[in-house]
Amino acid sequence: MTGRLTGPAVAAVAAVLAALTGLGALPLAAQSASRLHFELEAGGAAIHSMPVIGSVSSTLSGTIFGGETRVGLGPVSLDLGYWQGSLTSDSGPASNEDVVEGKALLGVSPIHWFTISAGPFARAYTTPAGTERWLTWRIQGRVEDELVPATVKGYAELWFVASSSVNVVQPFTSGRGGNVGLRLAPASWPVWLTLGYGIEQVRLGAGSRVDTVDRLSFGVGYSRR
Amino acid sequence: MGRRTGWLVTVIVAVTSALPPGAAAQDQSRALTSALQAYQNLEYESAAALFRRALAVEAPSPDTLPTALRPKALTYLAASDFYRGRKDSAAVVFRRLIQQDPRYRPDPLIFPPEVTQAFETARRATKVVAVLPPADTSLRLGRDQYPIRLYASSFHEVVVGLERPDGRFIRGIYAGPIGDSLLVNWDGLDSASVPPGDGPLVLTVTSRPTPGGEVVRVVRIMLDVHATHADTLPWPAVPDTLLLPEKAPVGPALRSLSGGLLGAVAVLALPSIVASGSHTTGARFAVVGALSVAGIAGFVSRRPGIPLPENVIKNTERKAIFQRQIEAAKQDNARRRTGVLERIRAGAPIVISRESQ
Repeated sequence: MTGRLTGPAVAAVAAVLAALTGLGALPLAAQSASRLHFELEAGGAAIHSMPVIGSVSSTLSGTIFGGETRVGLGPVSLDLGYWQGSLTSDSGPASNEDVVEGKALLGVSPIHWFTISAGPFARAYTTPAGTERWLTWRIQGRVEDELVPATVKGYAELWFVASSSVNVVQPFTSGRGGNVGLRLAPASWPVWLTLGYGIEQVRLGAGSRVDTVDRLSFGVGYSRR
Repeated sequence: MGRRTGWLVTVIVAVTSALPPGAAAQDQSRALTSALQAYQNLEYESAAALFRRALAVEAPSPDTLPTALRPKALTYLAASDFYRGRKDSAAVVFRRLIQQDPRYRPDPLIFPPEVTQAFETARRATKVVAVLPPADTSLRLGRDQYPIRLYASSFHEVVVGLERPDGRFIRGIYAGPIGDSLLVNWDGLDSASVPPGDGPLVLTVTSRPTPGGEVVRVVRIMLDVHATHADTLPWPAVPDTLLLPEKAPVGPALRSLSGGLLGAVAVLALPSIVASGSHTTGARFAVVGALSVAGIAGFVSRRPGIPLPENVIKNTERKAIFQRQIEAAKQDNARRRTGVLERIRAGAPIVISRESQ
């Protein structure tokens, strides 16, 4: 098992977090009133995982459920999420596994349609052979715009992994991902619905292991300002 | 000899200087008293002569009969002529009296009815008006009025107006009948409702026996007008740039459509961008379809040309605000205009009448 969290990477994430805090202070000062907003979303995702180790590939699929909350004060927001579920091996030597995910992202919106955030994203795969623990530090950009006035918003997220700490043999090389979806939130509805598609890929050991996970996410949420 | 003459001159000068200043007037009063005495003694011939002598001296001679006594003297003169059988002469004297003071009436306790009746006959036949503007006053334009009092000898028609000294018309103030008295007001503006500016104006009062009849008398009074102006403010600019489009423009519709389609393309391209070479599921096509439909729905809901009620409401509010600003500017300018102070000084009346020509 190898765990690695390089010094420059930690410094980069720390710098981004400090910059986010600083960026948040300016719009905060500029805004006439800082508004507290709160979102709570419960949902799940149909996951399709494709780990490739050397030349051996496997596929697993399953569903995870969980929830996500966002608390914002003016342009600064904090995202917290937790999901868990099981993946079933569809092909290859990979065995069934349980998955647990969690995240904590601190973000800032310098303009209303753009948010940049950073923070840890943790994932654990539990198999009969043991538990793989992944701790990655993400830097993420998100754009959001209205597609149908007061009804539908579209969003797109792209992130990359600035550093990672994993307890597997191969050292972390790179990681990135994206998520695109929409939120159906008619003004007369008390809740909103989301549907999105995301994919991410993490490379370990200079490409000797490549983990790709795509997911179709769905959820129902409630927000309050 | 020369010394005696010098003393005599000195004494004469001293006595003359010691006489009271009203000595000449006292002489005139004595003349009037003598005339009145002759009238009381029914000596109408000598009374008429004495009255005429007293009235003959015109100003500015020190022998001039005081103005306050002239109507009384004229009335007695007319009565003397009346009782002498010179009724035409009496009527002429009465007309002269009426022209000097249209408000004068003989005291019925002093003069018998036949004399007052003769006066009334002359008064009804005489069409004159006395014009009494304020001698020196100031008025705020738009707020104050310049009062002009007219006193007529008898019912007739008058036309009151203002003109430049060269005859250019400024403003008609009144045209119509006058009975006993009349108060007309001038608001200090010309016929275009603007201040006439500094300089002399002429107030004219034209008398006619009947509407459209022959002019029998014109009174002209020079008015010296001095105005202090205050600048008015410009009206607010029309807020065209602040008005929102009341019909949907092309931009938002295309933005919705392109946003949805770009999102769909992004979903399709995401595996290639993030995880090239990997095999992904077809689940993403559900999101592609949803984004495409949302983009099209957004385009339809924002299609160019559809009315935007919320913008109409906002524009109505903004137009109302602009209208309120206009009204405020109007009121402010009105206050500024009323802040203009015109000082008007009236000169002595000049009478042009058919009888005097």
